[in-house]
Amino acid sequence: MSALPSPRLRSAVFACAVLLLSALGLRRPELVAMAAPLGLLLILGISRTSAPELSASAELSDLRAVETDEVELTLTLESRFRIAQLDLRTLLPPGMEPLDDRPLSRMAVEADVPCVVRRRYRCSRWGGYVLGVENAVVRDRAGLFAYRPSLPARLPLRVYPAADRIRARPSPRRTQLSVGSDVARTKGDGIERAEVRPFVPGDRVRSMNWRTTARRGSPYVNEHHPERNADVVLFIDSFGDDQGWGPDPLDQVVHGAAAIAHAYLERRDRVGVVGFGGVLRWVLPAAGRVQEHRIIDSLIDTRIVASVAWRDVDVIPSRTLPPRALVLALTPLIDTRTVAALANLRARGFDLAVIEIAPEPHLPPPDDDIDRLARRFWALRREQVRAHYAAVGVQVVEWRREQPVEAVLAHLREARRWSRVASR
Amino acid sequence: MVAGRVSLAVALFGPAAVAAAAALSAQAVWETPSDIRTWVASAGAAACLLLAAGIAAGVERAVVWALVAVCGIVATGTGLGHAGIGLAPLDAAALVLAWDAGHAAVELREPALTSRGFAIRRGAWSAALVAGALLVGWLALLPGLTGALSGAAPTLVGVLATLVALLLAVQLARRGHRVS
Repeated sequence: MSALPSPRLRSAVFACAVLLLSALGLRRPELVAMAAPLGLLLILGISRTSAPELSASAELSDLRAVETDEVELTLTLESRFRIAQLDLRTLLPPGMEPLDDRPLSRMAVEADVPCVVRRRYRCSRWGGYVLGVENAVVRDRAGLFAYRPSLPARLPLRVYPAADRIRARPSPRRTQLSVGSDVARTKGDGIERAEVRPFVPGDRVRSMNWRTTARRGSPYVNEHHPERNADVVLFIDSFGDDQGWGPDPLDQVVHGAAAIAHAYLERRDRVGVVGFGGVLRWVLPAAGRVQEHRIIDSLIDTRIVASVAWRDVDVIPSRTLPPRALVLALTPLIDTRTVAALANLRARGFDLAVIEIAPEPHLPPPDDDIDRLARRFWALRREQVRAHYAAVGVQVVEWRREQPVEAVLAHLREARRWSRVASR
Repeated sequence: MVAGRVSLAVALFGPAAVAAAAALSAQAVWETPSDIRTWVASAGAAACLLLAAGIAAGVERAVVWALVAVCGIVATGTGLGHAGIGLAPLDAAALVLAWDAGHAAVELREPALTSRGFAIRRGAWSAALVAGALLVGWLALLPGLTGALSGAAPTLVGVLATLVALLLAVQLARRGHRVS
């Protein structure tokens, strides 16, 4: 650790030099007397200064938080010798808002006595952050030298997006075999009544519909729809050029995906994630609270990565897309690779629905006629993509920035209500 | 830790530094012969203005050069004037006050979370420095005033001071290259 001379040292040295040289040249002893205190201070300061032995540890009130939560960072500093002045600078990631922005300066640390410093932050945006000491400057008693000890006191913090509550979500067309909350379209043991049919040998007596039996004069039995769970895969399009888009579309996607994942997992469905973009990320479908954390951890690591490499569905691990799964795609329908991959999924028989992140609100207004014409062409092209999807039985709903995700899902639910799986 | 704003400290240290520099400059002007008094007064005023501007703007480099300029003006006044030797300890104390308070005013410029009792400790340190400067200045003049330092003694003191300066330079060089 090197000692850095401070402006105090420079001014004291220069002042002493001027006074002593003048005393020599002008033969005036009183100038020596004037320089003597500063000279003595320099001698004492330089001879007594030493590199600090400072250690620090960090502690966070929560290692995981939700947007708008407040977290407290506690730094504990210890030194073998007394530190007269310590200036600390803490890391301030862009998504974290300090509740007290005053710097931690001019702190004294007593020898072998822990010095505890607390800072509070508000989590203003989801993401993965590191909080702790950015740098520290220790000044000696006379302020002549500064030392910069390295204090590796840093902790990771995961800030989860504040997900909207969704009461009604689109039901998958096909269910799995495990018990869940979705009413299957097949018949079996369940609560939801499917139909009433004549009794056949082997039917259980408890299934008898006595009212119909009495009315018709022959035995009738009830049939039910079983309650099953479903597999849902969130297909997140992170392709794209991040220039000019800003963080908002990704923000919208992450908030929406977190809310949707929570809504399905709450109903005991299995949910997985495929991040389809410059970097392919996936979470295998599973159920439960832990899976929700896995999904959100995966979502907050999602970044828009510009890529020119061609990607297709083939690059996605097959276990990520289980058969009979509902694939919910969140995409702006801009990148041809995503459009082609989704069409490929539909062609493979997946139950696919697209939530289109409307790109227009995120774009600056057109400047001139050429811009306007280009936007019209662009809109027409995207309309063509939507029409193509509609023709193959894929519901596309637009999600504008100002809309809550629940309204979009309600729209999607309505659009899927009368749809059926086409026989091929 | 307490949330202690130190703007009051800045308001005290800044004027104290400028006042000490102004007093030193005024004394230099008073000691200077009348034919160059205007020049010395102008230079003193400029140095004080530079010091005040540096403190106000938070530019520590300006404070450094303003203090050096004040030292030069004092040296000029003392060298060309005919004042008595007895004021030198007071000058030393004023110089140390200007040096410490000038830098402190810039260093304490930003409000910060400070340790408890920081302002009191800082004020006590400045007062101790000024008192120490007064004492050291007086002790430095003592041999000359009592006539104890005459003959070969001043040469020996000069050689000793040179050795101390050399040792200081060597220690500084070592410290600058020490990297752990």
